[in-house]
This record gives sequence, structure tokens and C-alpha cells, in this order.
Amino acid sequence: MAVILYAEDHPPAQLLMQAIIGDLTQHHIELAATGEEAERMAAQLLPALYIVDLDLPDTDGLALAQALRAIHPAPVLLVSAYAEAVKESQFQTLVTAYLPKPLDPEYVAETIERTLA
Amino acid sequence: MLPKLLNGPWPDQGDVPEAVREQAVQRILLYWRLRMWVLVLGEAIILFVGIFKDPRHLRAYTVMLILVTLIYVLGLFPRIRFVWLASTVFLLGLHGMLVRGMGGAVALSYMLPYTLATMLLGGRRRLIVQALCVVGFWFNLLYEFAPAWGQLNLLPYFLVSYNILIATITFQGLRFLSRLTTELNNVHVSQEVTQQVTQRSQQFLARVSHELRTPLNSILGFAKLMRRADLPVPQSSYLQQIVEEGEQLNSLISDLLDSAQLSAGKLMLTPADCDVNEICNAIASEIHTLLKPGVTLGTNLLPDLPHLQADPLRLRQIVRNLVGNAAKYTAQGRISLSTRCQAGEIWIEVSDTGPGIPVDQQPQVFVPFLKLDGRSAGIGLGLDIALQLARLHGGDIRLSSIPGEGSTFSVLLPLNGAAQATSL
Repeated sequence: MAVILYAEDHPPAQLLMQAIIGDLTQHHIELAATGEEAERMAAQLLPALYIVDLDLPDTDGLALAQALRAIHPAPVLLVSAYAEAVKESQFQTLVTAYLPKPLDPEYVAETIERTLA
Repeated sequence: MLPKLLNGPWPDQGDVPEAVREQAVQRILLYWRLRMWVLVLGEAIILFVGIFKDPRHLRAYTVMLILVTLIYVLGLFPRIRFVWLASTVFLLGLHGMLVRGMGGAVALSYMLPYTLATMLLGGRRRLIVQALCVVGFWFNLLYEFAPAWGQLNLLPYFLVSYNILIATITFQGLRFLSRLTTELNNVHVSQEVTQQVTQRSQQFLARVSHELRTPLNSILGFAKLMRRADLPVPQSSYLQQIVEEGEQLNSLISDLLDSAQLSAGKLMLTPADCDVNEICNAIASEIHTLLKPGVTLGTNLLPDLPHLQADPLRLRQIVRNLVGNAAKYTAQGRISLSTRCQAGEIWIEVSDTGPGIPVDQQPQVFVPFLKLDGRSAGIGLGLDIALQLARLHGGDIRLSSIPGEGSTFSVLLPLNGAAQATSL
């Protein structure tokens, strides 16, 4: 069982990811609503995986991914409703995989397991 | 007028469309040519009058005129235009020498800034300084002659009229250039506005699609999670409807966004090594669920088809849109998906036994938002997106169809097309 830190500000989306990880995986999810909170939690929790939404109130997902990896190195999955905003170059160096919204629960679970394996 | 002339775009600047710049350059050349002929005509009259009125100056006139003519002829070549601007200096000098009481010093006071402007300034600035010099010279002449107007012989009289003419032409030229500058400014501004509007609508669409997908994320995600539970029969089929309609809504949002990006030329390809057959097989099994009862889908894929440098996601989208379209319109019979390689191009063909499209309507099938039957579901973007994506890969889509028998859409993709397309 691994600890996953999810940075997302939209409560229904938080709930959905909680449900996906609770129903389809054996892992434990912790939620952060802002980039700042995510950075603080990353230092405490030392998660095995970050899941980061591209659109956060105080930062953007790619900048947060960089900051989080500097705090505690772990793979990052990027979630976004802007499929188009994620540039391939940044995507490959910073982010292990990209999860497009609307999320497909099975695809999310598979990607998490594959990344943690 | 002056600030407009000094600050607006000039045809030698690169920020106006090529066609407009070319037009502007042509008009300016025309203006210079007109000005040249007026000068030549004026000189000829002065020579004619000068010889008869004051034969002592005949040799000086002749030498000067030969020089001036030579300089003007050289000036016909655009690259040495400065030479025939310098020739006007000669003319001013000539006039200065001819006019009684007008020594070389007075003429020089105008000739010097004129020459400096010719040498140091370009475009509008040169023209303005030169115009001021000519006008100044003309006023000086007027001032010199006004007290003795009645005793004038013909030569200075001609000179005055001639300089009025030159000044008028120069001012006409300035007015003309000012108008031209305004026109160029307008083109410039309308380009900027178009760019801004495009950019805004891009941002707007991206924002809207984000806002639509955010609730859709919860609806579809939770519905899919619920679908995993063993729900009793009516509820499970309701849930299935929610998921299917949600997916449909999501693909509409994606289509709108793709179409907007394609028409703004902002869609970027991410080329990779693509196995076209693999893509076709994947689409064939994906589309199976969409076939109407009584319709079969078969594939006829060329073994060992060369791999293609293309954006795999976009290639899938092209094939999915074409096969999806065939599935939508084919009520019975067969849809076949085939691949072949011909003359450095990979052909992906989607044939159906649907209603077919009359020849006169065939070009319209690729028009965005236009639905030929006006009834079927969807917003009419699928074929437009497929065609634009194929073209972005350096390829094309061809349609052949016989009404009542069916249609064949052929996607042609050059084997090295994607790399070329993205380097543009």
C-alpha cells in the first residue's frame, strides 16, 4: 500500500479520485487543495506518487510537479481538462503520465499501478 | 499628417502583407515617375526659353541638361534612385544661378539640407525634408521677384511657375503617401484585431471546454464507478445511458476544440513511429459496438505496411471519424477498412454500402457544421477535422461515391509527410 498525494481544488473531483483509489486500488490517498498545501504535505508524507491537477488556484500543475519533485522525488501523474495545454517536452521530463479529464476510473487505476510497479 | 507619415508602417517595413506592400511600392514608384516627367518637361521649357532669351547661357544649359538627363535615366532603375534625387539638387543649383540676385549661397542653403536628406534619410523623412526645401526655395524666389514683378523677363516667370508646379506635385505626393500610410495602418490594425479575436476565441474555447469537462469529469467518473456495482436491470441500463451520453458529450467538446485549433492553425502534431495497420485494427474493434444490426465491418490490411511518421493520436482520430461516419450512415451491408502503399503514400480506405453521396454534394461533405441530410446526430465536424488533420500531415482525403451503392473515403498520407508538415 502506497501513499498518494493528490493536488486538486475542485471538491467533486477530489471525491472522485478518492473513490477511484478507494474502490479500485489498495492505496491510500491524501488531498491538498492548493499548491502550497501540497508542498507542505509532500514534506511530511513523503508520498510514493503525486497526482497533480494542471489548474490549481495558486500555481499550475507543471510548476507544482517540479516543486514537489524537488521536495521529495516521486513520479507525477498530471490531471487536466486541457489536453492541449500539456506540451510534450515538459510532459516527458516532468510527468510520468497524463490523465485526461473526464477521468476513466479503470485507466486511472491501471496508470497508478503501472507507475508504482 | 506629419506624425502619420513618420510613424505608420512603410512599404519597406516587413509588417504588412506582401500583396499590399507590393501595391504600395508600385504606387510610390508611379509617383516618382510622374514627378520625374514633370521635371523633365519643365527643364525642356526652361532650356527652350533660356536659349532664345539669353543665348550666352546656351553652353551651360546644354551641359547641365545632358547631365540631368543622364542622371534621370539612371534614376529609372529603382536601386539608384538616390542619384536622381541628387539630380534635383543640380536643378536647384541651375535655377539659383539663372535668377538674378539669387547667388549660389542662397541656393546652397536649400541644396545642402536637400542633399543631406537624400543621403542620410530614407522613406518618408527624406521626402518631407525635400518637400520643405523645394517649398522654401520657391518662397525665396517669390520674395526676390515680388518687388519687380512687372519687369520680369520670361525666364524667371517660368522658373516661378515651374517651382510652383514642383511644390504642388511634391505636396500631392505627400498627401498621397499620407493616404497610403493610413491604408497600410488600417491593414496593420485589422491584422492585429483579427489576431486578437482569434486568440481570444481560442482562450474562450479552451476555457469553455475546461468548464464543461470539469462537471463532466464527476458525472462520467462516478457513473463509471457505479457501473461496476451489480445494479438491478433497469438501473444498470440507465447508468449505461448516462455513461454513453456523457462520452458523446465529451467527444463533441473535443471536436469543437480541435476544429477551433485547426482553423486557427494552432494544432500541433506530435509525430512518432506509427503502425497504421495496428491503428486500423484498434479502431475496427472499437467501432464494432456502433454498427447497426445487419452491418459487418471487415478489414483488408496490407501485410508489412511501412511505418509512418505521424501523430498517432491524430491518425486514430482521422480513421475513427471516417469509420464512425460510415457506421452511422450504413443501414445494411458492409463497411471495409483497408490499407495499401502506393507511390510513397499510404492509403487508408474506408468503404461502405451506405446511401452514397450525389456528385454535386460531394465537396460539401467536408464543410464544417454542414449536415447533408439535416437529420442525423452530431454537429458535422468529423469529416472536416479528418480532412484538416490529413492535410496537416501533408496528405489528403479523397471521396468517391455512387448514390445508392456506397461511398469510399481514401486517406492519402505521404511516408515522410508529418516531419515536413510540422517543420512549416
